[in-house]
Amino acid sequence: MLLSRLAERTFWLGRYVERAESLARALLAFEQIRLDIPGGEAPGWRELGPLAGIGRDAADALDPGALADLMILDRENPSSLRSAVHRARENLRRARSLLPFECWHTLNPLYLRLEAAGAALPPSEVGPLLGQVMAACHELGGQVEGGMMRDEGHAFLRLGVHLERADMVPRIVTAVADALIPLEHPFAYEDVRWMGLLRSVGAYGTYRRSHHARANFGSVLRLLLREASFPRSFAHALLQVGRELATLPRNGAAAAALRACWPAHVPNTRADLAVFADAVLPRLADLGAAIVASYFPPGDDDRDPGRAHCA
Amino acid sequence: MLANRTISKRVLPELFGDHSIKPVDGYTSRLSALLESLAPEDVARPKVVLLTPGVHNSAYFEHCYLAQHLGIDLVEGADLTVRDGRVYVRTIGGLERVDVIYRRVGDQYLDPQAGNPDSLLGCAGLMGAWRAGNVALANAPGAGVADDKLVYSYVPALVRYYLGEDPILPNVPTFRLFDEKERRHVLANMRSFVVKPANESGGQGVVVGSKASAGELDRCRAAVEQDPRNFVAQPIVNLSTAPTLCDEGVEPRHLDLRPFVLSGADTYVTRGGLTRVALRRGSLVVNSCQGGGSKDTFIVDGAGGP
Repeated sequence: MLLSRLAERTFWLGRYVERAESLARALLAFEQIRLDIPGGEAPGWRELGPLAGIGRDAADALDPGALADLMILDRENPSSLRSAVHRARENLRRARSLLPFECWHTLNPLYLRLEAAGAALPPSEVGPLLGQVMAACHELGGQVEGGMMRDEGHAFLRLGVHLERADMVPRIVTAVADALIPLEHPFAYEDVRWMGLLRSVGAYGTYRRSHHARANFGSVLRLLLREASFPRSFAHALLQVGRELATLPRNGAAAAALRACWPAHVPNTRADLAVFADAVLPRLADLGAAIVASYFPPGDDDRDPGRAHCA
Repeated sequence: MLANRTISKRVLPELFGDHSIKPVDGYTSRLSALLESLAPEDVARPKVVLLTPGVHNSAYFEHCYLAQHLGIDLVEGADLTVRDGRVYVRTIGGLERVDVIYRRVGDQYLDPQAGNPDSLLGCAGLMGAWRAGNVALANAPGAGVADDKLVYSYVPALVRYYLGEDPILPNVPTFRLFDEKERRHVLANMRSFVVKPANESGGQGVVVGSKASAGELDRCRAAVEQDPRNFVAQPIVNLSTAPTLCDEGVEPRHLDLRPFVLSGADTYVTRGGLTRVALRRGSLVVNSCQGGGSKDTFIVDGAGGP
């Protein structure tokens, strides 16, 4: 069976890669929409601060460039994009033997690219850099999809990816909606704003194909949170967590924690969304803790030796 | 050796097309079979692991590379635990029995109960499990005695004693400095000798007589007088050179060859090896921790070769 330490590393590899990719996508989508909205009405980065661990009050005190640098490049900020890539790399470094050989040659150059970036990023480099982060994460996903044995290591990697996705989607939707969608109807540049929200979780094309009418919170949240066949929805991510857990031994505690993550009621207004996020995020944290406690015991556990030479 | 070959094939594909260079790839399968053959009990599929000190060790890349090519788990001390004299590895399903440990952790650090009590790199009780025959360690603890350079001086005698024949490859003449006659000879002619500490590795403490300053020679002489058993001396061997790409262009640099030999029920020598090269002009020190580099080594298939 898979070593606990390697399971832990692949789980966190999955989480950090997914965090890097979804953070890069949200920031890139937001940056592009922000540039579409002229002058005084352009939204600031302030509401996005919490996605990279920066509270709104702290974000208020910073100019937009400094805030972007703090979210993207800051070494000290454990929730920055650079930190996510760095931690993904450190986890991969210790679990290389489980993954296709090429994965290292995808993630390491990305890490080196971010290391080479200075402390501040000229605006013209923000987009290309975020694009590189996403591209490397996609490449890694492809290498895993086409080259990794569907074994326990794969299950832990996917568990990490989907738990992180389930966690990031409500955070991103809340933050980007707060930044882009005004409280009062009607508002200017409505199409562009909804497009920004959908693109921040890569849902724009999907939404356009299934909804031809004007966007509204009800239909957008249904797609992003409840549509199980949309791969970046909250519901899809939770279902995948359940699927991977079902393949693992001793999954009782984690499965129970997963059941508690399903919301009683799916939001369809902005106010509902905040309630939903407040309720579900602590449950996801509990689920993460249950996985850690079940499979990644600290140094000296006292479990019984299993059958000698179990397969 | 294996990584060097991968790079050579990438940079010089024509060379491999035009000459019949023998592959080195068989090494890992041989090593894998050898490790499995060491399993203490008659198990169908022995569990083999590679024990590494971890990512902070300078050879971690090599450990990881080998584990990947051997298809075995790379473990750290904290992954292992000993219960009732048997070694287990912590898995997501509980503890799993380990049969063979290819250890890349030094003797002193293998077991805090037996060696260095502060070691976090090993596993408490490991030596007991090994003594009881419940787990195989490769290389066996104590095998490092072969690293003692004094042992080298006895190799021709060992060959004659065990095989009853003369060695095919001559030894570099090696002087045992605890022998008074040999010591006096060396100390009287220090300029013509290399003096090496018997138990160091990585080129540490090596004094090349022809290049050392008077002060270095005096210090070396004093150290030898104080503890003659701890040193050997050899005449300065002018290592071969090969063209080497340096900052200054292509230049000759001194090198030596490390073949890899697997010794179990039978013996296997790799078709290639690690050529170590001294990157400083004129230097004879090829050790990687002293700034030495490495080269791929080609064994060219001549007529009539197997």
